Amino acid sequence: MVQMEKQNHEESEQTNLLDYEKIVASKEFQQMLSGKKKFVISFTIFFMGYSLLLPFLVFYTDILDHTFIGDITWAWVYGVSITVMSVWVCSMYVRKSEKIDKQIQEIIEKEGL
Amino acid sequence: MNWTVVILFALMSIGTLFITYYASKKTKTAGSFYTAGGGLTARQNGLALAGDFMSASTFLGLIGAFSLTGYDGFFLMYGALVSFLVVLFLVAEPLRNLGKYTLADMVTTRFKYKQVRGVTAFNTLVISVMYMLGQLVAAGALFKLLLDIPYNTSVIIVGIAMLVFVLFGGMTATSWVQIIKAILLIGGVFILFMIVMWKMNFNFIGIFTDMKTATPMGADYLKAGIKYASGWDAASLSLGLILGTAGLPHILIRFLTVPNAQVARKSVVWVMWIMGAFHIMVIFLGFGAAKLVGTSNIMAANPAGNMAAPLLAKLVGGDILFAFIAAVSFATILAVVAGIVLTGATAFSHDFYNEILKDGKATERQQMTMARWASVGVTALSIVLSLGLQEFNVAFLASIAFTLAASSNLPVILLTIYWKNFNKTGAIVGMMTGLFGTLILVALSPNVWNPVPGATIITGDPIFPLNSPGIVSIPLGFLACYLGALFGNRQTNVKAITNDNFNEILVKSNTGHDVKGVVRH
Repeated sequence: MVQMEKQNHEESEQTNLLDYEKIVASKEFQQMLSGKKKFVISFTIFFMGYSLLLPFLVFYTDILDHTFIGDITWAWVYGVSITVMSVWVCSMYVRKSEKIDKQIQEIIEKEGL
Repeated sequence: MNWTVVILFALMSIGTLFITYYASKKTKTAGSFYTAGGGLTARQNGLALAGDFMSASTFLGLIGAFSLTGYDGFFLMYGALVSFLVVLFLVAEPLRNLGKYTLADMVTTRFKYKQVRGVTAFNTLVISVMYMLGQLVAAGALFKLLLDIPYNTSVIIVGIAMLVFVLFGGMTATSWVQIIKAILLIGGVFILFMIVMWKMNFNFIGIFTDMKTATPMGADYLKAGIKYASGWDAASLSLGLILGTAGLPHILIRFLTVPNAQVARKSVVWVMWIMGAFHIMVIFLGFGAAKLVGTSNIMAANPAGNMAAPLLAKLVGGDILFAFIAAVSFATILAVVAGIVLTGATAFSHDFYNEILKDGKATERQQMTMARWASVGVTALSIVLSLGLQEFNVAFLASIAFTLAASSNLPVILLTIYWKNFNKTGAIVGMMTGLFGTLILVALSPNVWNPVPGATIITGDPIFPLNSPGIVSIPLGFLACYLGALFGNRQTNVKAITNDNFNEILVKSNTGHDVKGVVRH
């Protein structure tokens, strides 16, 4: 079975070598790619920035030292909010990916992959 | 000797043996040994990922860190969740779409050279063994404290127990052990959390006021700076943790156990919710330990705070809860170590033996035999090395593995998927520089050099000032990839061919129309 899989794989590589150029150059693929890129890059900058900002804010400023409720300071709220932020960003990704999945499905059907 | 602990440990071992027995019936081919045939569901893989990632240092270490260092516990903790965002956004789906059994499979989809495969597999082995050393040293220390078993014996017991179910059950048994461990860990932490908060009248706001007077640190307990001297120190540690996960082979290989990118994505959602809940409870368990057990009692049992959770369990729940938490710690270590051994063994038998030595023509039987011998070899090597490392700090060993992963694997993974001009030379140079650069920096760091005689291996001033080399070695890894690629492109004139291949990678990694290594049932 493994050998057959390999053979198929080699065949598809030979016949599709040019097709990949065509698919990548197609309008649909480029559209999908640029949408994905925009989303991934902007969100990656956001979550990296959000989380790496914390140590600098708590060590070098006192804006998070003010109290939120009782003796809980904003520094603790920020710390816990990274957990909430991560779960939120994750759900945004899932939602965006579902849209991209549809675009990809169209490309797959059109190109007969 | 605490007999409740012994009985629970025995029950747990019998349970894993049953899992192994059933899994061994399903483990007939090399593919099922390496990746459980690629047939796991999102929930199964999500739980297994959480079980694979949350090691003894996550469970015991974080509760200890919050109890002893208050706010500074965050810097050890929050990187973990963010690191799974890095995995989700940049690595998980392309890896599932391009890979088959190993990380090297993914990289060699683009660069079809044996040298690239060899270097990637070697890298996987070094990082895996490094990570495992930290776990085995932790296991030895834990057993010594919990059961009074000598360090050397404990390490050997854990090694052999884990080897049994890897040998016979392969990835199926390992996955199930990780799934059950994740459920036990979350369950155990939840029970402990409810009891501790009940003792505190579920007053989530008042506990902060209490903490101002509960420890010798006073009000400083609630502020940053007890453990870390500066923001750069804390940020460097966090950066290493955030980027490390996306390069750890035993975590990445879990994405090859699912059938497609959609399931890979959904399994990360599971990890997020599980670890998010865990992290919130850990903060309050740290508070509870500091307030109820007391800083001096925690430090007396273990200066690093690793015994905070078991001691808290004993205080609020007596011997039974103590035994349960101890058994959960045991399961935690077993599950993580098994995942790592399996990763190392797969890299050896699939990459070195089958693909490089046998040109991919080894029979299923030969591969299975080789994978099993490799498991024995990796375990034996790790046991022997960890016997000599008893005096090393566990968190330090684990952090080297993370930094190695972020410096040598991550740059190559990202550039292979996303950079058109990346090439074979860049991949090899980048991985080797990241690997040896990190090891050399560690060898020159304060971990090895100390002016006080006897404090570390060598007496003298450290040549490199930072404990964690990540902030230097991670950029170094990326730079080496870039320079290597420039050099390689200038030297050969294969640019046109690599470019063609990149389009293929682009289509495959985005559409997943060519997913390999999945057995259709």
